[in-house]
Amino acid sequence: MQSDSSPPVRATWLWFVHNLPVPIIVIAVVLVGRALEFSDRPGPYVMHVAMIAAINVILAVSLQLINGVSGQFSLGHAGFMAVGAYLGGYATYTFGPWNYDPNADYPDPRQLFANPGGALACFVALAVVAAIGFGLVTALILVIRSLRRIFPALPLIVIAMLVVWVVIDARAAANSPNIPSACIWSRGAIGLVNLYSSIILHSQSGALALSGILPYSWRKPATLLVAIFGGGAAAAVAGLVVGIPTLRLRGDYLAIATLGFAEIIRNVIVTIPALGAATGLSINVYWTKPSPPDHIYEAFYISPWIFGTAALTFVLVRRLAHSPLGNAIKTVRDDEIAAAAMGIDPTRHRVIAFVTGAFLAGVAGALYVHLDGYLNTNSFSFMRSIEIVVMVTLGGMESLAGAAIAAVALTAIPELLDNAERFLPGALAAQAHWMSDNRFVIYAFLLLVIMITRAKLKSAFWRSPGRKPQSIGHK
Amino acid sequence: MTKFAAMIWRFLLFLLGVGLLAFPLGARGDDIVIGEYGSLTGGTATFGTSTDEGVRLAMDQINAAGGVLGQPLRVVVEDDQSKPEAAVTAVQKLISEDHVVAVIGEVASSRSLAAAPICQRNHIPMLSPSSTNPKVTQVGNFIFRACFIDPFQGAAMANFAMKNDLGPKATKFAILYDVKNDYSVGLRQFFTETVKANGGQIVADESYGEGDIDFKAQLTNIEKASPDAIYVPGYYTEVGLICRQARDLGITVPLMGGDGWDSDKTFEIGRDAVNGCFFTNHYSPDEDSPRVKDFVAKFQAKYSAVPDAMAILGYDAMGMMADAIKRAGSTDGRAIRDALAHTQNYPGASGEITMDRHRNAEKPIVILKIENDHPHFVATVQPTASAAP
Amino acid sequence: MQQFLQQLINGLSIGAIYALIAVGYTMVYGVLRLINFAHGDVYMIGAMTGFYAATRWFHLAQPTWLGFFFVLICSMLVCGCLGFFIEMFAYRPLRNQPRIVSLITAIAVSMLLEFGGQAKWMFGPDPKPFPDLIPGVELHPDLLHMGDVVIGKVDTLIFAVTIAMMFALRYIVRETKMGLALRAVSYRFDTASLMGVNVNRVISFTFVLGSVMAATAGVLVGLRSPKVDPLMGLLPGLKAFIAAVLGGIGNIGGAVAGGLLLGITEAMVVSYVPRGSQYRDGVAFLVLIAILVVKPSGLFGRAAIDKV
Repeated sequence: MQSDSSPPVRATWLWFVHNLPVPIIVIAVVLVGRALEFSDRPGPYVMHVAMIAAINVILAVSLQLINGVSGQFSLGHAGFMAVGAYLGGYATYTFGPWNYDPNADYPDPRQLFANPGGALACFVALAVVAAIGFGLVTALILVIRSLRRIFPALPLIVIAMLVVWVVIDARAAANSPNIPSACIWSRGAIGLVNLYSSIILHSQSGALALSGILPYSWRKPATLLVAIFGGGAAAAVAGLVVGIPTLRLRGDYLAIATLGFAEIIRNVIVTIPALGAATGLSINVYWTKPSPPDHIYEAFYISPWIFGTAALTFVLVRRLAHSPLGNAIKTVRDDEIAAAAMGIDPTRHRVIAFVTGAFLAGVAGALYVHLDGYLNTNSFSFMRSIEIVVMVTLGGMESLAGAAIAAVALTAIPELLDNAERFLPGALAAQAHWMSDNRFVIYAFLLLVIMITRAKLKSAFWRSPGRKPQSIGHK
Repeated sequence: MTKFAAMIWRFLLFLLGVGLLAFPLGARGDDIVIGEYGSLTGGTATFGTSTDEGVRLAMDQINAAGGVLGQPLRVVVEDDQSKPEAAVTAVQKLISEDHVVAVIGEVASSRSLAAAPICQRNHIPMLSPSSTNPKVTQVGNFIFRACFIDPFQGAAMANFAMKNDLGPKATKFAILYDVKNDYSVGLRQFFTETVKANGGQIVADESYGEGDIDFKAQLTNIEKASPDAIYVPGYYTEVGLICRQARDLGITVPLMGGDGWDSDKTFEIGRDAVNGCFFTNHYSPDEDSPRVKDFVAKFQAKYSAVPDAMAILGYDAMGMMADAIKRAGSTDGRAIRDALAHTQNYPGASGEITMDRHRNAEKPIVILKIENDHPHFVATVQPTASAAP
Repeated sequence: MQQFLQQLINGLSIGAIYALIAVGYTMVYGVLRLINFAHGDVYMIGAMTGFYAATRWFHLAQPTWLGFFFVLICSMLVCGCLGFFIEMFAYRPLRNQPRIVSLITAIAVSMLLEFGGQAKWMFGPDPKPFPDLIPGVELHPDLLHMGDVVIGKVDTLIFAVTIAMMFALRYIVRETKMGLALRAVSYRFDTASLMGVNVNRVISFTFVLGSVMAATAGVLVGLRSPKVDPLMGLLPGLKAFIAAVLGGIGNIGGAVAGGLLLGITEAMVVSYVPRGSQYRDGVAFLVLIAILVVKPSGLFGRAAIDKV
């Protein structure tokens, strides 16, 4: 890319040339996807698997941005996906319908996603409440940290006292029907929830007016767009919350901290009744097959969205990685001190990479929820994060295309193996089934073999114990 | 290779990967194909394999008697590895690749909920043998179940525990439920409602998560509240441990649960601690009914093992489906759906089954008491109209 | 007050298990700066080995002290060898690689053990009932009754074994030559090898020692909560790591203190926070994040193993 050294007159033309492939590739992928969906081959099952593969591509590419490009090892990617999925799904399910009549002879599914303004209002309300909540918590933390100057152990003591106070507060609130006015923490929490409800309530008419401005056929795509961006933004906020406290952590600590955050997110989601609690969240979905022939309305297909977003994500992240910003991030990964000496702020660049990765994971989640229509917290466990890490690692630790290909391969190959008996002779089919059943053992084994052979290839000194292990933090 | 060419290559590889899946995967034959999806592997593998054994036993019997509508019956089974997202893919495959006329599955309500919308969308009737969460059949009018629902189950245990002379005759209850399991959460809700409606009290309400091995902290809280009985509506994987740790802490009151208790593991792990406990179930192996005895005998002949509740429900589900197809006279989804909806007094091994207007089966519940490490029949609770939501 | 005491005892009992596993984490980290993700699964293998030893290999009809020791030794042997081989084949080739590589390898080993264990040709996914190995527990599980507070025999045994292991470890680290070598390697890796310390042997020794303690934890937990399954090591492993961080990673005494503290915190949260049992697992992670934010070196933090 020679954008910097060319004279300004030609810069615009070059910019177009360099950026033209982006929409072309995206449109090409979308059209191919739509054509495949409308035809008899490959059929809804294959399309479903292909869409899951595309979502995994988004996840793998975004994790590669965090792991490979930025060098921060995150084991909590499924948590961000969960945030995007649950909030995106909740927004369309609760605020999407407008004048939907389920008892009509031919209920129109477009009416289920007719209120983008409502979904937008939901996210705005969440944003306001989150800003206030996090702002207060951050202020508290800063105050506590500043106490260190007075006395080194003071922060720990203050935190312990705070914890006890909050617990007493919560117990008093739980034990009485009316929360006593002394329980400021419980009242604060309830107050935030009430704030959310009242914002929603007061914005309903405005939201409907906003939705009314859009032409009828634009509302469904607009609602989905709001859900995707909203889910992504919520996941980005989660990424900020996770990323900032863990800034000073390296390698292993960061991995465990991200894992911990993902588990906490899951733990919290499973206790919220509005998000389905243990039963899971069931929402209305976009259909991926033409509606039954005797219904006249059109269905809206999710495949263009999923394929298009996957292509867009891949191309954009690739560009980001090769852009000046990407180079800065890579420099911070390679040598933080040198980067800081060159004037590149390591903190800022790490956070940018982390938050972008989280945003994309949230987008993937929002797309996923509209594909399957059902969410269960068991789908976003530590194992899911590990699956994505396996995809990134098997694809090559620094290659974005490799991550994408590995994502497709690791989604498609188990399905192929499952279907083996349809096109393989009997004995081979049994082997294929065994491989599919034990796929995680095979992944682990592959991972081990690849890691060790890489090491042997790279360094000829593996027998010598004299080499000091790279010990970051061993100061 | 230039970067651009490399990018094109990888793009083509990507498309190839997708296109590989366009193999001719299914073929129509002239038998009637019924799809089954279940958890043959994964954490709840015993549920899926038991159901499958029951289904296959029924299939063999039906085919030996001439099949359905003059054609043999074939069951295609897909494994969902105990994961909801895999259940979606499995059912999608059954419908679009195997061209099934109906689907049987699943045991876990969460996986039934995941897959039901696909069956509904494609107008393929789905019959769940043992999902008890009420929401499953609310997905649409093509979704049925061959068992009772949690409101009935929770209420039955509550009523038994409070009113029946053979029970603990308790008024104060503690609950220890699995917060991550929809089945457990649902049962707790309905149990609590019935207890309060009968004038009882819930003195302690504790939770755990699937996979926990230490419950002493929760049980200590429960002990402090001095309940007359403890309701533990969880899966067998934790129940045995809970009973043992309760006895270790000196808790002597009986524990009670739902059909999730039904497994050998409960007795293997719980041993002496589960004696004197009660649970609700779909059938009792020592029930004095000729159909039960017949089923148990045939099952033992084929598999050399005693069937559990999942097996008998799978058996009945398959039988009901074949019966519905016969009455429908065709393999059209809508016809089968109508026939299923009008199932009346079907002679199932687990009892006479009638489909109510919410597409749930009206069936009696049995209450079992564990004595000498085995469950024994204690009482039957008949379905009442008020039990339906 | 009774409830508080009982919860304290519950917490100490769980905490002792975390402590035993945490010591393994902290020792390996002190020496190699590596989080051995597979350590939790070594604990699981210990429990599984104990199960198979007791039921299949030795056919112990009656619980006896001799039988218990046999099973324990068997378990320790198997896990010691397992730890040794994991280090030799998975971690040693990668000693000069960036930390991310070792981390991924550790996760791969962990996955291999977990999913290999779940396979039908290994243990199978179903939980197995761990038999009673301590004589007298079946009929009289309680050691002491102080009013309403019950102290179980098994819990006392766990606590006693943990303390005994602590003292044994302290002796090894302080009084033996190997312990000296261990402290040297954890302080300065290359200088120790310059001084003639056989670093490979020291590291293998560390792994074996840690694995032996994990095996002990596995057998003890099987006695306490007699259900063992291939996935039982995942969460306790993570919590033990959090305990090690809490106490100051690299510090053995800190690991034990961290384990006990974490166990007590869990019990207290379940007992006193409204609906706290729902957040039981989340608490451990909150503690981790709190300690990393406020005092990353842990409560007794020191990077080298030089204090027990």
